[in-house]
Amino acid sequence: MIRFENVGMRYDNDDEILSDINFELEAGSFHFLTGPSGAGKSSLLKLLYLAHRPSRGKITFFEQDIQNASRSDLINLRRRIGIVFQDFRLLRHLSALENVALPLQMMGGKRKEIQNFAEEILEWVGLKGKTRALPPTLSGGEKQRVAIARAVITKPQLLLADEPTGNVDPEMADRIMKLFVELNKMGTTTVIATHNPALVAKFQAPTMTIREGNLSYDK
Amino acid sequence: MTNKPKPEKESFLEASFLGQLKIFYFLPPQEKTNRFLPLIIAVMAFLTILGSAAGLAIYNATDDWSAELSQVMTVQIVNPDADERARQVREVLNVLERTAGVEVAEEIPLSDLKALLEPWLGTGNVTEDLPIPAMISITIRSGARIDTASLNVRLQAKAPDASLDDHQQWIGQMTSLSTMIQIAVFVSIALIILTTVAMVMFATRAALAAHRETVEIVHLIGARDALISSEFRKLFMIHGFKGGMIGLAAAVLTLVLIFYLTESIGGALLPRLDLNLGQMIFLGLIPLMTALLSMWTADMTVRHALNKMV
Repeated sequence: MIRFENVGMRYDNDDEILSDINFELEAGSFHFLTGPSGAGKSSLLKLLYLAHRPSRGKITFFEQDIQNASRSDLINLRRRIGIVFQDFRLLRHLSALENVALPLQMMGGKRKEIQNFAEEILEWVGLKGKTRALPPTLSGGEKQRVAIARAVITKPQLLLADEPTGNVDPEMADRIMKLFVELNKMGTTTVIATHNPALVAKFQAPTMTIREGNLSYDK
Repeated sequence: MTNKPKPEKESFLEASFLGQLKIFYFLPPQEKTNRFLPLIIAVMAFLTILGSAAGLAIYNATDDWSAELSQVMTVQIVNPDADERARQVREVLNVLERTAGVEVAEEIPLSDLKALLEPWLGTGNVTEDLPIPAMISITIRSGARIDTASLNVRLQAKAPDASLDDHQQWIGQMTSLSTMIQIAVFVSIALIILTTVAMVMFATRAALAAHRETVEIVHLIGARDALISSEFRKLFMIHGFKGGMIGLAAAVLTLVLIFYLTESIGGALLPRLDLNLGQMIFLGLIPLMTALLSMWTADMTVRHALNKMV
């Protein structure tokens, strides 16, 4: 489904952040992405959520070559990806419900249906009573769950989560991970970036490790 | 003293049948990055309306003068001897009576000529011994054409001191002056429009910079450029319309004031600020134009910026 072949990435004319990255994500797979801070995890995630094009090599997303894809093609591909950012990136002036509904509103659809679905997803992540709350009034764990709900509302084929348990207590971390596992069981390819070894040990899954811009793959 | 928390207000749309979900937007409702922009646009709209009104008034005045003067000619007889002057007047009137195309030819009474001179020389200063030439006013039949050169020759054969003035030289000079003023007004308006475009462009860039993160988020979760730019289009259309309306209100007040001032200091010497209905509608539509111009500029600026994103 997603294939990286000898991918390199650099910002402007700096040295390569990522070198010769090779891996393949099969549909419905679950992976951890680990590595020390500054190793290139965020850059790899940027390539995965199509915020950046590779400097060299070939990335194939859903049979489409990213290097040659138009901006319009990239937008269509992004709509098949759900992202949970490390810092949540919720829009402060929109309610939890409106934040969650945003991706569906962009794609169009009936307002009432979107609202019902957003409410359903918020209930699924345990935030039934918080639909009208603005992000600044939510706790870290609640924001995280709103971000997850926003990422999954479009039923993405690929779900990327950057340190999704970094800001929550162990109990909440466990609950969030179980949500990801549940989604994965429904067929969503999932990549969780973390540098929490306990989490990786608990939810056993293939792990991609980045060190100094190079990726190693541990099945 | 403690601050009481403000009660959570429902927006109009929240309270409506649509329920909790508002129409699509992602910029904060009280976007304050460019709160002074409407005032700047108001100044630009004000200048555009005044400039356009002046240009149109000059055009109208020149058009009216040209139309009036092209139907009128004057014969002037300059001779100090009153009897000889009277004789030549009679000869000229005889020639004119036999000239095809002349509808009316009549001598302008001396009292009228003196009345015309009074504003320049002062009341009571036009004395009896002042040598005033005789003047004959000719009205040309509508649609008729008169060969002025040959008429002048015929007149001078009978009245050697007569000279025919068809006002063409004066009309030509007035038309040239009016054209030059109109070009100057047009160039000024074009510069005002360019300045407005540049200001809206900078303001849009400022808004984009202020909301960079928001734009990035919606871009990454799959928003199309058209959707993102539509938010800025709406915002700047409102700024443009507000500015245009303020400018229009100020310009209308100024034009009304100018109208009454020109009327009171002497309508005969200054061109009247007469605008027809179509021209007034055109000026009234300027707020709509500033709204569209701001909207278009914002759209172009946002799309240009988005094109730089992957």
